[in-house]
Parts: sequence; structure tokens; C-alpha cells
Amino acid sequence: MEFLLVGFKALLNPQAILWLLISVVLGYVTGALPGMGAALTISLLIPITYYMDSALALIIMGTIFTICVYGGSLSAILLNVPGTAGSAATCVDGYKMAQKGEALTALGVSTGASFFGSLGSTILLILGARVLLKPMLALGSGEYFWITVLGLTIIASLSNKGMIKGFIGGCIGLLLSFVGQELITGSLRYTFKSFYLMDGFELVALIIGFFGVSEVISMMTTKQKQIASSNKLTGSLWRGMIAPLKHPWLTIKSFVMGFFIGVMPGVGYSISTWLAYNSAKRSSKHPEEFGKGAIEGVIAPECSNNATVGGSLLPTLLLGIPGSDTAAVVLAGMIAHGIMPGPQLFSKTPELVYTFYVGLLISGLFIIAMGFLVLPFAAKVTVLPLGYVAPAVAVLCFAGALSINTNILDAVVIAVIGCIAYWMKKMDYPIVTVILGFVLGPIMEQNMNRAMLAVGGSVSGLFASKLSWIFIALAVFSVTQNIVRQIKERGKKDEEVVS
Amino acid sequence: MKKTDKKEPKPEELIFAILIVIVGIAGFIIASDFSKRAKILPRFVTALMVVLGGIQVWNNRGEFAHMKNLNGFVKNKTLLLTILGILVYPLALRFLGFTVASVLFMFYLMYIRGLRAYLKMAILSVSVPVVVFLLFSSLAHVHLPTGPWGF
Repeated sequence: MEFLLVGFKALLNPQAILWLLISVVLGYVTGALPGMGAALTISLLIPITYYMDSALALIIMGTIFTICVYGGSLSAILLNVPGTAGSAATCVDGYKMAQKGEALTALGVSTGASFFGSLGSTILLILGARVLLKPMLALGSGEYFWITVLGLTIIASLSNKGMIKGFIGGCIGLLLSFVGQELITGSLRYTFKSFYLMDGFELVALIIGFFGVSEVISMMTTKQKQIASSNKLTGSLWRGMIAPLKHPWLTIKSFVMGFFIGVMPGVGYSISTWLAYNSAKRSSKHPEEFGKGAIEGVIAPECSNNATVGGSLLPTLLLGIPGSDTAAVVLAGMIAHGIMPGPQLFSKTPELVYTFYVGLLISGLFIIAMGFLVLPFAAKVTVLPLGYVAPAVAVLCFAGALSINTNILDAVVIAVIGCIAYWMKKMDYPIVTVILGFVLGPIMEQNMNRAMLAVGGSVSGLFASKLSWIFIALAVFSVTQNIVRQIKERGKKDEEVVS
Repeated sequence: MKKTDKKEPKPEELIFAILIVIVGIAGFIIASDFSKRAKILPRFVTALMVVLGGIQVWNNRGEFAHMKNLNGFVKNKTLLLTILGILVYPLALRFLGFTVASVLFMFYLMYIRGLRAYLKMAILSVSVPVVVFLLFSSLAHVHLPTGPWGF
């Protein structure tokens, strides 16, 4: 407890407060702009933090990480363009709410959920650091493989207009993920002798193309004059912010899920948000409302993605194993400051660690502050004429694509993908399944190969442990439940048509 | 009792399904050249694509009769012009630079969307790319393409 007080005292100086405010603004802007993200922002700030106190540098990195993840929901809800990979799930229901004129409510929900996710994961980090880590790291390649298969079964629940279309989308995503160099064997696949394709496609480029550019085409061709269905915004920011309190079990389940998935190295918030979304849909009394603007559809992914921040920092601080790509950049920043991760960090310099925790707690409070200050103005984008919004979004999308590798070919890729995605959307193919397949494909393949190599190349490596069978059972249950649900819904629709 | 609702013809569903089957077959054949371990999942996924695409072709086999409805796409001028603009814009980025290409692109999109308040369009077309250029180059030190005029 005394170390927490030391942490609070360390922040009570003008320099720390100023840098905290700068980090919050930077994190929010870069989170909202597609293509930028926390990893890029933190990596650019590391040289600036060389001349600072190590504790302050850690706080800056943690704050940008937290606020950036939250900031991604702004463009996801208002424009259907996820600012970060973790906000893709928020697009599904958040944008639908914005289209109904409830952008303020949706933004409020994301603010409240992000706050609770951030708060919950920081508390878990403070209370349970060493206790939680051991069981999570006991998972091997076989278990990770089945976790990703479980993640892919979410496709079944995301495919409201037919599971076949959803699985086709997932296959397209998986196929796109195979392009480039295979990680274990090093062999080149589907590169057609192109240098550009040797590195494979970038996730951010795919997200910008599938969500952003396709949405620009939709905005340009719709008869609607603005994003919202009416000229007036009917939502309430405050009502949105307290919505997670009205769904306490969903909020707790989502941040616990996000935290534990964040702990798993290499898994990240791209997956935790979808798992949380799927879980929320399955446990909801009104699952048919998901995909049409369900508040729970925004609470679950937003709570989960902010909880993943704390989770991914746990193995980073304790073992030097980054839980995500952004955590890897934070680790690089720590090492640059001579802060070596590991148990000695907690035993020899606990005040440093607790100052960092305090920084994370306070950045959670800044989420609420940003909500009240920025969102009422930001929500007005949904009532601006689409003739002005669509071109601006298009330019932002292409700038985001160019920020990945400063390569014009990324811009070409998002243009082509955007056109294909628009066509898929018109035919009711759920494009989110493409992203899910793309994200999970490499993790699944890597772990499959590792698990098989560990037993001399045999498939039995995937079924070796009891934990694997638990995940297999969960995956089978997930698919079966969705098939049964869709059959029931189709039966109900047929009855309605006949009557 | 029969369903009485009339389904809107969607021949593009059939075309997309056929394309999925073709891509699946091509992907499966190309994967034969990969190393042993590297071809496992690609072959599985492409085979699955062929099966799922085949099911979709079967489900939409009635759309063969509605192929003439495809010209609806060509008749949608705004859609065609938007897609054309989006595909040409990356090439314009290469030769004109981010700022100039974006100014022209934004004005073009606003025009085909039906806006005619030329002053407002001009102000927005210039200010948004300039702000985005400054944001990305100064905040993130991203080198956006510059044309022969340096911006």
C-alpha cells in the first residue's frame, strides 16, 4: 500500500502532470487515426523519454497504450473504420448505434466500458501479478492451437446471414494470412515472385481496406444524407457511460477475459475482443439484436480490449515476455531506460512498478475526462453531410495505409480490397470474419507446427494434453450452439412467413 | 404451405461463389509446390473454399437465369465513378504527391456525390489534406509521398 502512495506522490509534480496530459492527447489522436496505433506512437517517443526519469517514461508509455486502445473506438463508432485492430469488433454494433442517431450513447458506452476494462485490469495486475502468471504460461503450443480454433468458431456466431458465407469470409482471411514467408519453414507462399508480397499483407492495411474504404464507397452510393438516420443526435453520453454498470456480469466477464488473453504472448486484443463479443452474444437474452446496435455488443469488446493492456503488460514486467506487439515496444522502452524486467524489478525497485500502476490507474480516469470533453463534439460527425464526410474519411484511410511502410503498394492494396469488401458487404458476407481469419491464421499455423514438431511431426502433438481437449470441447460446443441457434431462427422466420 | 415472399435476383452471388471455387482450386494447386509442412493449412483452407464455394454455387444455381440483371452495376454511375476514383488515387499519389492528389481526389468525390457549393468544397478539399499531411508528418514522422513540388 505504501508503494502505491509513493507512486501517487511521484506524479504530483508539474512535469509529470504535463507529460501525462500530452500522452493522453497523443494517445487519443493516434488511436483514433487508422494506421497509427500505440506501438508506432510509443516507439517514436522512446528517444524523447531518454532524458526523463525512468518512472515518468514508463507512465508515458503505459498511458499512451491505454488511451490509444480506447481512442480506436472513436472512428470505429462514428465512421465504421477501426482506429486500432482491437476496435474492429466495436464497429459491428457501435456503428449501427451511430446510424440510429445514438452515436453519443455508443461513445459513452465505449468510454465507460474502456474505463472499467482499464481499471479492472490494473487492479488484477496489482493484486495478482505473480499468482496469475504461472498457470497462464503453462499453456503450450497445442493449447494455443485449439484456442485459435475456438477463436475461429466465433465466425459461426458472426454470420447472421448464413454460416457458409461467414466461413467463406474466414477462409479468405486465412488464405490472405498465408501470403508471404511461413514462419517455421521459411518457405515463400503465394508471393508470385513479388518483393512486396514476401512480407505478407499488413493487418492494418487489411482493416483499413475492408472497413474504411468499403465504407467510403457505401457512403458515396447511399441515398442517405448523413450517417445518422435523423438530423438530431438522440443518444446520451452519460447513459452510455453507466451502461456497463447495468451489465455488471458482462463487464466483469469481458475484462477478465481480456486480461487473461492479454497475458498470453502473441494473442493480443484482436482476438480477445472477438471472444468477448461472442461470449456476450451467446449469454445475451436478445442475441438477435447483436449486429443491429446492441449496447452489449459495444461493452464487451471495449471492456476487453482495454483489459488486454494490463494483461499484456503482466508477462512483460514479470518475465520480459511481451504479451502483445505494443507491449514489446514498451519492453524496448524499459530496456532503453535500464529497467530490466523480471522478479527483481518487483523486489529491488517496487516503487517504480507501483508508480507505473498508478499511471495506468490515472490514465483510466483520463478516459472519462476525454469522454466528456471530446465526444459531444466528435459525435456531430454523424449528422454532417456524407458528401463532406466520405472524401475526408477516404483521405484519412489512405494516409493511414501509407503510414504503415510508406509504400504506395499498401495504398493500392487497400483500394482493391475496399472494392472487393464493398461487393462482399452488398451480398451480406460478414467481412469481420475475413479479419478474424487473417489474425488467427498465423497464430494457429505457428502453434500447430510447433506442437507437431515437439513430437517428431506427428498430429498427436495437438491432442497431447488434457487442456487441449477442454478447448476442443469448447470449440465443438461453440459451433454446435450456433448451428442450433441459426436453425431455430430460420424455423421462426419460416413460421412468420407462413402465418 | 408455400412461402409467398419474392426473392430479389442476385446474380452477383453466383459469380462470387464461382470465383471462390476458382480461387480455391488455384490456391490448392499452387500450394502443391510448397514445402511439406508449409502446405498443410493452405491446402486444407483452399479445399474448404472449394467445398463452401460449391455449396454456394448450388444454392444460387437459379441465378443463371438472372445474369442479364448484372448491368445494374454498370448503370450505377456514382458507384462506377467512386470505384474509378479510388483505384486511380494511389497512382495519383505516386506522381502528384499526397497533398495535391488528395485535394483533387476530395473535390472529385464531393462533385460526384452531387455537391455544388464550390467554395466550401474547395476549402475542405485543401484544408483536410493539409491537416492530415501535417498530422502524420509531424506527429508520426511518416513520410507521405511528395510530388515534384515538395509536398
